[in-house]
Formats: sequence, structure tokens, C-alpha cells
Amino acid sequence: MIGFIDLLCLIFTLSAGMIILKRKNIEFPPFLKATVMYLIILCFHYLSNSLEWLEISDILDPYEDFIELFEPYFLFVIMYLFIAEKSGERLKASEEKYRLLIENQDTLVVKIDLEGRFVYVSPSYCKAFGKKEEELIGQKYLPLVHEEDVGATLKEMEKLYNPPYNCYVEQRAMTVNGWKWLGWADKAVFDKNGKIIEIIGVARDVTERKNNENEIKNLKTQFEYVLGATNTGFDLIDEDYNVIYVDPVWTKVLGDHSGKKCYKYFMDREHPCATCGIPSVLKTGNTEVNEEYLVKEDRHVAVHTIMLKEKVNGRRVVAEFNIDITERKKKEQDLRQALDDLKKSRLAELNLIEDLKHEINEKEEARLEIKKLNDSLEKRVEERTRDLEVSNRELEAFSYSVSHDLRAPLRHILGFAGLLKDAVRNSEVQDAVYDIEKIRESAESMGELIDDLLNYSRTGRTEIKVKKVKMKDIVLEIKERMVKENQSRNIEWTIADIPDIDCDENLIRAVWLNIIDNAVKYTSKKDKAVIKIGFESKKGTCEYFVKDNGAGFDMKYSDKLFGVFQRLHSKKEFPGTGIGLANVRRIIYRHGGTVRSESGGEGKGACFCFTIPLTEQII
Amino acid sequence: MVQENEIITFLLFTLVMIFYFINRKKLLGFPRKKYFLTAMILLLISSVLTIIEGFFFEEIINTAEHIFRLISSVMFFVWVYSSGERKGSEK
Repeated sequence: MIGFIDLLCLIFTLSAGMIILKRKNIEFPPFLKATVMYLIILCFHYLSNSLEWLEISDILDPYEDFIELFEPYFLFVIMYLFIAEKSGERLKASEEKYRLLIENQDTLVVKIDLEGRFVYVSPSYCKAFGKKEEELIGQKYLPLVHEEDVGATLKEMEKLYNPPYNCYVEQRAMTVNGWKWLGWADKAVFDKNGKIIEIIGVARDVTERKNNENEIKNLKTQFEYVLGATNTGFDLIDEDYNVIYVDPVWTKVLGDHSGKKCYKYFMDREHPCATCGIPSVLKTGNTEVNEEYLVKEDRHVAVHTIMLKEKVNGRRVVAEFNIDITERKKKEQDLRQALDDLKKSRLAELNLIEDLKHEINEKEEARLEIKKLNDSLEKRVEERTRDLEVSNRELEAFSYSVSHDLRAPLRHILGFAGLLKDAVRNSEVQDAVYDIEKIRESAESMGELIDDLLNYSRTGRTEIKVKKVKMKDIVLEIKERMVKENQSRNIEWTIADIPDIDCDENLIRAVWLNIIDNAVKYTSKKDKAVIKIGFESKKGTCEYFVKDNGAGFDMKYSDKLFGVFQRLHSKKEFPGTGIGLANVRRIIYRHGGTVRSESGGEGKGACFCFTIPLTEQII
Repeated sequence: MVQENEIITFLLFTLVMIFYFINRKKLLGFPRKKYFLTAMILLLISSVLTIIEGFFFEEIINTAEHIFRLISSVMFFVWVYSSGERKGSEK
């Protein structure tokens, strides 16, 4: 049984060994070789037991125990060799990787000894210089460097002998494509004793960058020249107001800007300027233009602030173009001054014109006033002349009337005095008494005339005292008085609502009394007297009237009615001295009014009207 | 009866197993290692059984020892076969 099992083991083991050995298409790594060896050992082991089953085990029995010891050993060897193989493969792969990396890139790699001779050159280096590795190995590198860069290269490479034992140098070298700029990063290589034995250099073609740098440098030079020529300042400021860059011309004036805030550097302030455009530009991204006065330089600039897309040290940055506008400001100031002067001059002119205008106006007003005064004076002269003429006429009429009317009783007195003389001489007593009576009557008549004249004269002299007078009350009062005095008569009274007016109450009362008394007197012949009292408003005046159906008069004598002692009827027919209407006219004239009379003719009644102005025109 | 070479063989198998577990990370790329490991463990067990059979149930344990060895041989066969197959397919 055991022998059979071992025989099966032998078969499987042999099969395994055969599989390994027959596979020609696979690699035969060491650990598989060890496996084959192990399988052979196993085969011996199982063969020994199988032979025992076949009863021929005596051949291998002496070796069995020894062979068994090899089984774990070969298992160990299989695993060890696998590990070793894998390590070797990894190392090889690593080397291959770096080899490929170096050989398939543009970076130039060289290794030189301390005398500057090539120990290693990468294929890319050979390709760049158009030479084979054998041509370069052992040769010095310096002849390949541009003569202008040799000094700088040697000086820079001295750093390799001091910590941190590396350096960076840019040099021109003659390649197959002409002179090229190469940027070399060199590092010293040490032996186990810490002694520098070689230098590894890694280089890249930086020609394009150098050209760009040169171009940027040229552009910068041109840019700075333009800034200087146009007196324009340029600066870069970050979001914390740190000055990053200032153009050289400005730096020459203001000094070093490093580590300074813009408000301190440019404006000599402790805090950001109130009109600073940086915050709003950073917020909106829009360009902003502000005007500033630079205290340190005593000039004005228009600051154009622009936000840059790129950040510097993680901070947002703005560029400021400070265009000099001092000249413009000065011109503006001059212009403003000129404008102010012009304004002042214009204002002075305007004031002068205004004064002249005022003076002209004053003169015009004075002229108008004079004209007005002249007109007024002329009017007054005319009025006075008219008044004087009226007065003269009145005086003439007065003189005539007085001389005529006073002469009549005087003549009577003289006549009857002569008759009295004859009667006394003839001792005719009754005739003498009659003559004396006539003389007395004439004297009385003369006395009445003289009294009336005195009243008339008083009327012209009395001072007028104007006040609001209730006309209707006066009219009603006079009417009552007339009714009482003429109770036997039949008089029909019609009195309108007469308005009040400003005038002298006593004088106006006399006017109403004379006119109403006349109306009553001259209607005495009528069976039924009709008296109408009323008023009409006419152009700023108030015209009062008293109309009756009495004796009336011929209109051709109407002017005489208002003369002193002028009468159109005899004293026997209608008693009276003829002084009443003269008084009326004088009073109304003194109030600035007018008086007139109307009549349809004798026996057709009469109407007496007078006006009193509503405005004050009272003399 | 316990033989010296059986003890030594057992110790050697044990050391091999310890070596495996110590270097198991380095053996990550070992082809079809689960078969190889199984085969090793079976050999270790068979070496243990070889020692035990000297004390009791000699025949049964001896048979078991050889059966373990047979399974181990099969495992080696499968390991060799499958690892070779893999290599071929990779290629």
C-alpha cells in the first residue's frame, strides 16, 4: 500500500519534472532549476519506497535518510533563488528605466572628473554636439564653452567645493545647431571617504528662454525709456499695498521701495489714501483713473490702475501708470484763474451797467415825476385859473349883485328919507310915519342881505372836517322838518336809499337844506307837490339829485341860478334873497364836486344835481 | 522509535516555513504560490506524522504520512503545471 502511494508520488513528481524540462518556450530561471533538483531528490525518495514495495529497496536504503534532509533545503533554495532573481530583475529594471530616461530625453547629462575631463556623456549630449561618445570621453569640456562664458563658468563651479556642493551656471556652447544657451545644474559626487571625485552636470537648452529674457529685457528697457521720456511712473502693487516694482527713473527719485507700503513710499502717509483706486479695481476688475498730488515730488499725476491676471506670491496685483498732468493742471489753474478774472471783470461790467441802468431809471423816474408834477402843476394852474376865472366871474357877479341888490334898499331909504323930509316940513304926520315904515323895511331888507352875505362868506372860510356821513339820515331829518313847517300842503315824497359818503357833515347838511327847501318853496303853487330825492353812481362819483314838479325855469338862465342874489322869480312870487344856491355851489366846489340844474321849462319842474367824488379831492 | 534524521528534517521544514513567512512580501511575485505553500505545509505535516508514528498507531499514521506526501506531490505537480501554463500565456 505504502509502496503504491509512493509510486504514485513518484509518478506525479516525475511528471512535474518532465513538464518543466519539456517546456522549451519558457525561460529557465534559477529557482526552477532548483525546483528540478528538488524534484529529483523527491524522485529518489519515492523511488526508494517504491522499490521497497517491489522488494528491491536495498539498493537505495543507505541513502534514504540523507536524501530526506535535502528536501527542506531545496525548498529553501527555491524561495531564496526566486527572491534573488526578483531583486536582480528589479535592479536591472531600475537601471534600464534610468538608462532609457537619460537616453531618450533632451536633457544633457555629463560626468566629469576633477580635471574637467568627460567621464560620461549622455547620448543626448553627443547628439547635441554632433560627436561620438568615444570622441568626448577623456576630453576637457571647457573648449566647448563660449570664451565669454568661461570665466563665469569657472567662478560659479568653485561653489561645488563648498556646501551645498552644487551650482547653476548658464553658458553658451557651440552645438550642431550653432551657439546655444545651456543651463547647467552641477553637483559634486563623493566617495566613501567624503572626498569629491566627480561632478555630475545636467543641462537643458535655455536658448529660447534666454532669447525671451533678452527680448523682455529689451522691451523693459524700451518701456522704461518711454516711461522716462513721457515722465510717466509705473509701479506694481499687491492687494496688501506692498510695492512690488517701481520703474528705475522713479526709484532714482524716491529711493528703494522694498518692504514699503505704497501710501508711505509715494505719498508719505501712514494709511491708505482716501481716493485709492486699488480696492475698487480688485473688487470689480475694471480699470480706474484717479488724480493724485504727489507731495514728495510736488506734481500731479493721473493714476491709471489696472488689475493683472497673474498673482505674485499668491496675492493679487495691480499695475499703476502714473501719467504726469502737472502741466495740464497748471494750465487748468491758469485757465480757471483767467475765467475767474473774466467773471470778476464781467461782474464789474454788469454792476456798472446795473448802476447805469439804475441811474437811468432814477433819472427817468425823476423825469416822469417832474413831468407828472409839471402836468399836475399845469392842471392845478388850469384849475386854479379856472377857479380864479370862476371866482372872478363870481366876484364880478357878486359885486354886481351886491351893488345892485344893496343899492335897491338904500335907494328906497334915500327916496323915502326925502319924502319924510317933505312930510315933516309940511307937518304931514301920517305920510311921515308911512315913509319911516318904508325906510325901516328897506333897512331890514338890507340887513337880511348883509347877513346872507356874511353867511356866504363864512361858508368859503369854514374848515372842512371830513368824516363818514349818513346822507339818508340828513335827508330824512330835513324832510321831517319840511313836513312840519308845511303841514297844510300836499307833498308826495319819494326818497331812495342814498349811500353814505365822506364829507363835511354840517356843510352837506346846508346843501341838502337849500336844495330841498327850494323844491318845497317852488312847488308851493302846486296842489300836489311831488319831490323825488335819489342818487346815481357815475365814474367814481356819486351824483345826488332833488327833483320836483314846481315852477321850473328856462334853461338859458340855468347858469345864473347859482349866482349870489340871482333869482328868476320875484320876491313876492317866491320869497328869498337868492343866496342859497350860491352857497350850494361854493360848498360842493370845496368838496371837489360839481353842481348843475335841469328843467323842462317854466312850470315843468326842476332838478338840482350835485356830485361828490368818492376819492378824497376835498379842498 | 524516533529517528534523529526525522527530527532534523522536521526542524528544517519548520525553518523553511519561518523563512517563507519572513520573506512573504518579497515572494509576492512567486508563481502560483498557494499550491507551492500548500505542498510545503503538507510536507511539514508529513514530517510531523513521521515523528508521531514512532510512538503510536504506527501503520495508520505512516499511511497518513504517505498520503500527505502524495497530496503534496500532486500540489507540486499542479504548481509546476499551472505556473508553466501562466508563463506561456503571458508570453
